[in-house]
Amino acid sequence: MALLVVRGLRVRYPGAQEDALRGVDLELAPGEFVCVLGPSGAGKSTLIRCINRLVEPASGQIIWDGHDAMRLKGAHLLAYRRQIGMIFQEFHLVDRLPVLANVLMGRFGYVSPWQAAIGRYGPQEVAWARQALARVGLAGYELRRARDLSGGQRQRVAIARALVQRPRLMLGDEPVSNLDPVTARAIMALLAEINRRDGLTMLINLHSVDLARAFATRVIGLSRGQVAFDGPPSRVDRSVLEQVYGTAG
Amino acid sequence: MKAESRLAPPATRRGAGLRFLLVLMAVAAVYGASAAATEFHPVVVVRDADVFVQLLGEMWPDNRERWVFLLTDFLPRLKVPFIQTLQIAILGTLAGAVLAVPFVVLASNNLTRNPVVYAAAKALMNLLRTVPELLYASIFVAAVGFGPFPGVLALTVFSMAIVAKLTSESVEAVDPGPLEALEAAGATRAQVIAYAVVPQVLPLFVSYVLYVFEINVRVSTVLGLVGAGGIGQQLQLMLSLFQYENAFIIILATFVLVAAIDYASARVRARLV
Repeated sequence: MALLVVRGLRVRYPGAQEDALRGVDLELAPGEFVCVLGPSGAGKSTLIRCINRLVEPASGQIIWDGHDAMRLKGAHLLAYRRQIGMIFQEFHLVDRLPVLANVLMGRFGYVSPWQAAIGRYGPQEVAWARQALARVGLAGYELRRARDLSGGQRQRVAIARALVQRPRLMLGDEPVSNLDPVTARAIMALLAEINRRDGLTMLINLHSVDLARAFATRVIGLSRGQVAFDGPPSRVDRSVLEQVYGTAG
Repeated sequence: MKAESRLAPPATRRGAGLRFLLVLMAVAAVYGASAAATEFHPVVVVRDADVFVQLLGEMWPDNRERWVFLLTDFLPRLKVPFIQTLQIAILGTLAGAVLAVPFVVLASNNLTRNPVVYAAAKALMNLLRTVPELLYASIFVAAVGFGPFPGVLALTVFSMAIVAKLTSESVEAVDPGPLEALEAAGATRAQVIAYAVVPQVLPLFVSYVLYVFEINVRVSTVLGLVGAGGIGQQLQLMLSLFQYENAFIIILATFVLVAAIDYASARVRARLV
């Protein structure tokens, strides 16, 4: 059964002349590594923000594990979001706080608000956070301030923060666009390794066609708010890129 | 003719000299009208300079015994009113800082999405800030009577408005990234504020509170002039009794106190931000 089904998704931002998404259909099977390509403004960021309901669609369906995710509110919405990890182009860490504190924030969907408010995490929570840091290659960095780390290291912290959510889907909004090519490849390799070993489903927006070809099991091309291509990376050729980007990429 | 006009300076530049002259004349006219209405004549300042010099002479203790008396006998007696002045400033600042917190949340457009609540909170803070502290003090003196109590109330309202305004502007300028990341992880609103907003804003908040404390120390030294307690009440008393030497010592001590607190507070603030 599909992990996620998206049907007829439409989004219009307030004051915009055109829809940001114009009827997107998408199905994700567990364990897929999907990369979303498309020019700036094609709706890549909007699409993944709709999936965890950071952006409210005007119409359409989002079915998560057989359940309607569009009607979720309050505590149910928070419980839905904690099953979906998310990483960002600018990492989105709290720079002043230590690495471990940033990773523990991934547990917010699970601990009670008053527990988090007084910074009380159980030993199990802290152990998971340390494990996640070791997993992304940052064992020993627990007490370093986030702002003292390099870009690649900060994205690793963000990945660890998403992993402690025990997610079933990882969303990535151009997670490697701010990194140099070597670091970008290393981060993509880390995501691919997590995908293979844990079977964690990935839906990652990318700028780089080469990285998508190298790591994805499936590529989706978005063009002006619509799916222009959906298929294996081996089928991404010149004519497909022309279709998605308008000109040869 | 055509070539000449092409070489001439642009129109905006050409009129600049004339416009400057007109502005200068307008400023002079406003100054003259205001001086006439308030019967202020700059000439008087020069003509009656000897009166000022005489007053300064009366303020300056002219012999050793007077100095010894003022510094060893009178100055120690100022300890209580000076401490009261500081206490007024401390109480007003702390209460204002605490009361500011809910208004910071309401007056920040990234924390309060309801436009009516946001606009109302922002407008209230701006309104409270437009009233000078001494006016608050006189109103509270009228309401609750003489003494330090109305002084504390006045500083509380004033501090709350300034701290809330400055801090809410900082909250609106925080990096929105961590807020989005925590929201995506299923965090509640309280968690997002506590972990993504507070760490970014806390040093600025403390710095604003110290800044307002500096202002409050200065203001609390003159609160007594409207009957709201502190050293100002002593100063008022000495001036009305024509005890100019005593008044001079109060002013001198006030200057030293305010300068010391300004300096210390500025040092701390420089380390915070």
